[in-house]
Amino acid sequence: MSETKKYAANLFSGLRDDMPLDYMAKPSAYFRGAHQIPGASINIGWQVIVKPTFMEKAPHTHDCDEYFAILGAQLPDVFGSFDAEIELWMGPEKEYHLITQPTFVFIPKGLLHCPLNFKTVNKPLMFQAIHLGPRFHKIMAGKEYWFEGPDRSMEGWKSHPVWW
Amino acid sequence: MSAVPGDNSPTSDNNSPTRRAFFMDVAGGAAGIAVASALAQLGAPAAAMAQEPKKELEGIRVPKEPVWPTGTTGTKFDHLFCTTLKEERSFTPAVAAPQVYFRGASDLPGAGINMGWQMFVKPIKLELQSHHHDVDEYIFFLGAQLPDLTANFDAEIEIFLGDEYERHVITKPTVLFIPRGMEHNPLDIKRLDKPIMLSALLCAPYFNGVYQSGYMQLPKMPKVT
Repeated sequence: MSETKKYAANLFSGLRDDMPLDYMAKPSAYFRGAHQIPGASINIGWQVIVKPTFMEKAPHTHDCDEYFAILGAQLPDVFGSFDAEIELWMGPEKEYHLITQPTFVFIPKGLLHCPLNFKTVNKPLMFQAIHLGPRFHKIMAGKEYWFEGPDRSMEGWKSHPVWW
Repeated sequence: MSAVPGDNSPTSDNNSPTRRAFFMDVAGGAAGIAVASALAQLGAPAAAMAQEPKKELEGIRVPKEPVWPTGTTGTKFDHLFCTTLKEERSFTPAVAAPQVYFRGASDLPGAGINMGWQMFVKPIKLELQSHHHDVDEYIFFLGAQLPDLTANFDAEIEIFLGDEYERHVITKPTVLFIPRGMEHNPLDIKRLDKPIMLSALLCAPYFNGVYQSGYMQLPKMPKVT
């Protein structure tokens, strides 16, 4: 007889993400919010960037706070293992910031941010986008797009511009 | 090779098996377009794009790239970047040094989360008593061997949830969601045959909690509740 646990739904283990993106080591890990744990209000990834990539091309906002963790990819010393340059533009005035050391970035709700360019990657680095909403979304040029993972409906993303 | 509407970059007949070729392969039909689009949103490598020749993208609308920002070089948003994450010492030999911590509003005024990255290398009874917070918390139990944090997990972690102390044993990479008000702990890393990375993320500007022994907060931090 199996044991029923009241809080079993608060734990989730399907974190492996095999998105075939050539600038990331595979697999990466991702937790995609409320459809994986009801009530959860966070989307968070663990991605190891292995070569330069222009990750986000257009400024956008979110209806929630977001944070970026940009760390070296060797535990425990994520500082000594960091050797990269990342460009990030912030605000409507597109203020330029160049990240050259492990950094945590706070992007308050509604603040325009990006482009985001991993310009130099001399050593792999761990990138985490920490999105404090129940499902990942962004608002770009007045239109909202949302994404729940590669195994879910693409309805919210099908009209997202693709820049090759 | 026909031009793609809105495409303003050069074209070529290069047939090498590139990432773009992958997208070409998956871009047949609506489902393929959706997958390609979704993947592209998660990053289209600029350098690779500059180097890779353009191929025909049948059925995919390719708009002009956004105007590249001239930008400013001011300091208005400096207060949103924290580089003081390194904590040289760990509080126990069970955690390898250095530790990595983002300490919320203490580090960046206005920030609403506390988050740590700790590499555990020995078993330890990490939390001895139950407590709760007035905000949501997430604990991420992962392997410690990058890049694949979902592998190399060889540990057994016991944690108790709720007022009834419901026992859970974590033996694989796991996210634990602890809604505000929910009692949780004790927490015992009983067996650790490979190091793990434990990240706790508390949705509060300053760390605090209500323990059986009373309210607790980190020294020198403002009381939140």
